Amino acid sequence: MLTIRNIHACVGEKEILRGLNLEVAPGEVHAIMGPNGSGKSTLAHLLAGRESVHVTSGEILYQGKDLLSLNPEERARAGLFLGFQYPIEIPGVGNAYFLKAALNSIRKAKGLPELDAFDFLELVKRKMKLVELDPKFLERPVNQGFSGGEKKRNEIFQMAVLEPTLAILDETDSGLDIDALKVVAGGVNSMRARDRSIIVITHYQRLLDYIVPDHVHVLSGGRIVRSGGKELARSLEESGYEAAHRKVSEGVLG
Amino acid sequence: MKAARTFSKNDVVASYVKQFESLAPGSDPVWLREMRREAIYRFAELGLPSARQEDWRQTRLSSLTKEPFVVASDGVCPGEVTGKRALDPGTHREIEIVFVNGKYSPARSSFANRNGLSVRSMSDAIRSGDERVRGYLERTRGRALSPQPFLALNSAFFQDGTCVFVEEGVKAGCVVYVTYLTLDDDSQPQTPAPASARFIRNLIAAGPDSAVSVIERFETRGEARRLPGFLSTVSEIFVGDRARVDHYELQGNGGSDHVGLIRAELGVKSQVSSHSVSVPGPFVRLVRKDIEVVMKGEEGECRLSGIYAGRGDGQQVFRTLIDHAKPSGKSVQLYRGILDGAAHGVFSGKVIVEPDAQNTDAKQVNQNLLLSDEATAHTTPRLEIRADDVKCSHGATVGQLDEEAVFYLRSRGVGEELAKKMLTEAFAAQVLDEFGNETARREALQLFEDWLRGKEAA
Repeated sequence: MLTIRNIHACVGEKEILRGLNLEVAPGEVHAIMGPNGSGKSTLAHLLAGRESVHVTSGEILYQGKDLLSLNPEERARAGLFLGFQYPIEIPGVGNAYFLKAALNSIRKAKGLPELDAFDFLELVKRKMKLVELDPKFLERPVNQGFSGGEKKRNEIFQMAVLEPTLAILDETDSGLDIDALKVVAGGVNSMRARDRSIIVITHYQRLLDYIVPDHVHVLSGGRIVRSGGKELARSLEESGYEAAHRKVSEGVLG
Repeated sequence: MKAARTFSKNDVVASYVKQFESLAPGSDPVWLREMRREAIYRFAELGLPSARQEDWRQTRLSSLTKEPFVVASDGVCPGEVTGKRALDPGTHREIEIVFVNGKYSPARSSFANRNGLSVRSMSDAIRSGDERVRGYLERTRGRALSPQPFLALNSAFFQDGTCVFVEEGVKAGCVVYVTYLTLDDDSQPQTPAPASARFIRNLIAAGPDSAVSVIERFETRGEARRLPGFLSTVSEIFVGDRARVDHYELQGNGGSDHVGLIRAELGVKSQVSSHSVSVPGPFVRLVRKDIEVVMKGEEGECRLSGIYAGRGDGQQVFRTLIDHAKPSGKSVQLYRGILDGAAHGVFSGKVIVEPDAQNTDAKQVNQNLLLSDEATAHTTPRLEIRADDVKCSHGATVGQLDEEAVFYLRSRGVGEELAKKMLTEAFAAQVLDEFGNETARREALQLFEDWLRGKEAA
């Protein structure tokens, strides 16, 4: 599904990712954990095609194709989805109008007929239930006036509508209380499928109690410094990232 | 070798004076002839504005001052409009007054008789000897809050326009449509005619406790969009005590440069709103709109909003002046410019709070979206506050589309062009939320969308 080979990338003058490697197979859920400033969000933005992240070396293959040669909309149309850590408010653009344009762009790229207003509404109402989002949000401008939790639920709702092949969820848990966290995690879990991979980026282990990953990676200093099963997340919670990183410095790779 | 003739500003002024003197006396009553004469003298005295004058500093006047326009004579070829160019048959409006190439077209106009509401062409109203017309026109005698040479010129030359009178207590509850249609005239041989000037004068007077909405639409079709010209409009609005007037000016792709003035006088607890959309064609060099509101009674309320969009190398200037002369008045202004190509937008908004006008609440916002590197915007808020217990705010921004928002949309599969279009439309549509009349809002949105689409065609 996704192969990241020795990626070095900068934001501005600063090198953030320094030789990152990652392999994600179809159907897998990977958690990437790491302290603030370790490069988690940079990785997420890089995958989605943010222009401010410059790759200096390395390569990324998505379904065997060179991901870096695609622009953001081409990536989305190829099935990639980024759930933003801070979903931006877009005054004046209606949520439904935007999502319909997005869905139909993707459908068109897949050679599927565009959905009309009626079918679209049917679809989104069903998907909204999944994350317990009130249908009134459809008519509101994108994310405007949404609470932190509503914004995150809106991200998962969009993901449910767009049905990506590879979803990257950037700190989807931040700012959520425990109830909202359960709802969001439930939405994500319902999307798990054999042909869909999910990368969950998080600072805390808490989310992984609800979205149980197949693999856990520790990102530090712009590289994956440890990888393991779901139990790694719990040990990190106990010993902290410092310990994880120290082991690496001592040459003990996880 | 003989150089092409170049005109000085004085030549241009002299040309208008000369044209005035050679006009046939026509059917004007004596009082109007006197008023016109006074106005042309005032114009001659004021001269054409210059960039040295504060109110005109940013305005590129050269298209109007380099050579004189020929004042369009009465009865310019409206012809009978047939076939494809007939007015949209499906859009019957209960009360609509239509002008074709500046000339009132009774056949295309429709009126519903309503007690206490009078809608007529200015020429009809004058001919009928309606004393109210004289009363209102003489009330200002072509003088505004600031020296306005083009108001004087309009007063001297205006050919027609719309007169709306609403009597005391009449809530018209309906909308008066005014359509100014400009067509190319292919019934005439295609000889290059000199660029002509057209002068339109509107009068809207609402008696105490009355209400009316007036939607002015300027529509230019076909080749006429390529014809240069000069359009001068003056709309005077008198709002009686506790009355309400909502005014809309919807201006699509035309060819003429336009200098317009809207002035409103408010009584006690009266409300006025004026909303505009302006999307001139690529050949238009200047659109200049002045909106002046004076609150002569307490608790007046004024709401102004507008969208101006351009992508040629023309200039659009919006200048507002709100005079809070009495206490407890409220004013809200929201203007947004969307500038592409080498377009230039100017907003100059002034709010005066007079010493007597305690408890004034004035808010002014001007925001500009630049869609190209060559587009420019100037914005100047000016507050003159001479009372101490007031709430006044102003905000002005000039910026580009939010890159993060563009990325967000693209990351969902929306193409870059469409993402930018959606965001640009959203920027404009928020102003349209100010438009209380749904028909006006829809038409304004349509004009803006047509403009946006024009980008793709270009």
